[in-house]
Amino acid sequence: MAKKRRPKGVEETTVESLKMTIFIDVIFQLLIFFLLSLKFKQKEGYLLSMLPKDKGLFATPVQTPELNEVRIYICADMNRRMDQHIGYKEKHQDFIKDQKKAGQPVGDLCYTQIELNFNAQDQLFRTEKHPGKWGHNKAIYERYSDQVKVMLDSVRSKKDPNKAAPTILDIDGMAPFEHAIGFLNSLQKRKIADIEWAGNPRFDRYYGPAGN
Amino acid sequence: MAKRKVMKDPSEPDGMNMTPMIDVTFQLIIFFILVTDFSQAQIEKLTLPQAKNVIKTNFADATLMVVNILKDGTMKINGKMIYDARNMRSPEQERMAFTKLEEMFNTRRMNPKYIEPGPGQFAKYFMYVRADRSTDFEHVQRLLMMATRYGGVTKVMFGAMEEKGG
Repeated sequence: MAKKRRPKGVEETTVESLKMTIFIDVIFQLLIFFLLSLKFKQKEGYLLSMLPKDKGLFATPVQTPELNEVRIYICADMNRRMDQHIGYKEKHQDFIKDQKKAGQPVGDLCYTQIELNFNAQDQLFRTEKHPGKWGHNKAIYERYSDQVKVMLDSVRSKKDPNKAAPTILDIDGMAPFEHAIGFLNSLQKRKIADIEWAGNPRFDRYYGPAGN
Repeated sequence: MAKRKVMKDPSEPDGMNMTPMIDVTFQLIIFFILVTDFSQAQIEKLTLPQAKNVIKTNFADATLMVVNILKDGTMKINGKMIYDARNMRSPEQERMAFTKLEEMFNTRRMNPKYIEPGPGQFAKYFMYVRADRSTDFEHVQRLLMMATRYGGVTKVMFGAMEEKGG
């Protein structure tokens, strides 16, 4: 059978191959889009924390205040003025804030210590500036939480002797938030439930007594 | 050098074939419609701190109060700007900015939907604090103090990213 000759210079295209071209176009477009937009996102979740019931406008004050506690201090002062953070909080925070305004590197490095063990002071780093220090920070959170766990066996609550005393996270206003979560996470991992947040004396004049 | 003359197929219409482009455009539109989750419009892009034992957040809870604190202390609640840290000059100006937050807590406290029955007027709802890992802790402290005092909030969830690896 004789073959039909196509005009010179015209490509041979069948209906089937044309359809495939469009399909491949779409597939490639989507593939490129997904490749460019793909981001291995970490899962977001939360850590639960309870706030006190006796500090609200309509709350009734507690009759027997809690006198026992285990306190973890985090100080954002580059000069290790932990004593000032503990003794003269408001003045110390104002001082650090002024330092920050003056361009001093405040809060990149924090010092932490645990009550009843003042000899031990450790350095916590801001992982935004020191990304390799996350493991170092984590080791400190874990070690301190271990110490708290041991202490809580002997430090009982004044209100209810059957319970352990509360653990207070006393964090300087200039310290990065990540340390708060680091400690909260490792304390909760050790089933330490009664964790409280120390207030900030700078805001006392506006929002009432900070409590702890 | 002599150029080879390519003859045009007389059956082919003039101009570009738009069909594949329209196909692609429709495909992408459908894709975006399907993947856009409007329930998470209240979530700001932040670098959250890492934690090992996080519980998965359920944003479907309509009473949840989602507070985003950006790295510079700027605060947004349920997508609404509460405190813009870039425009703050004095502590008094800060105080004024936070009256908006006080009002927000007060409004919720007036609504029985958000409050547990009883004299303490404690909040029934959870406050979900999403703060950047590098934000100064004082921004979180202030929020907690205000939530306790004006909102009767007792249950706080701190947003964190699940820690990678062991």
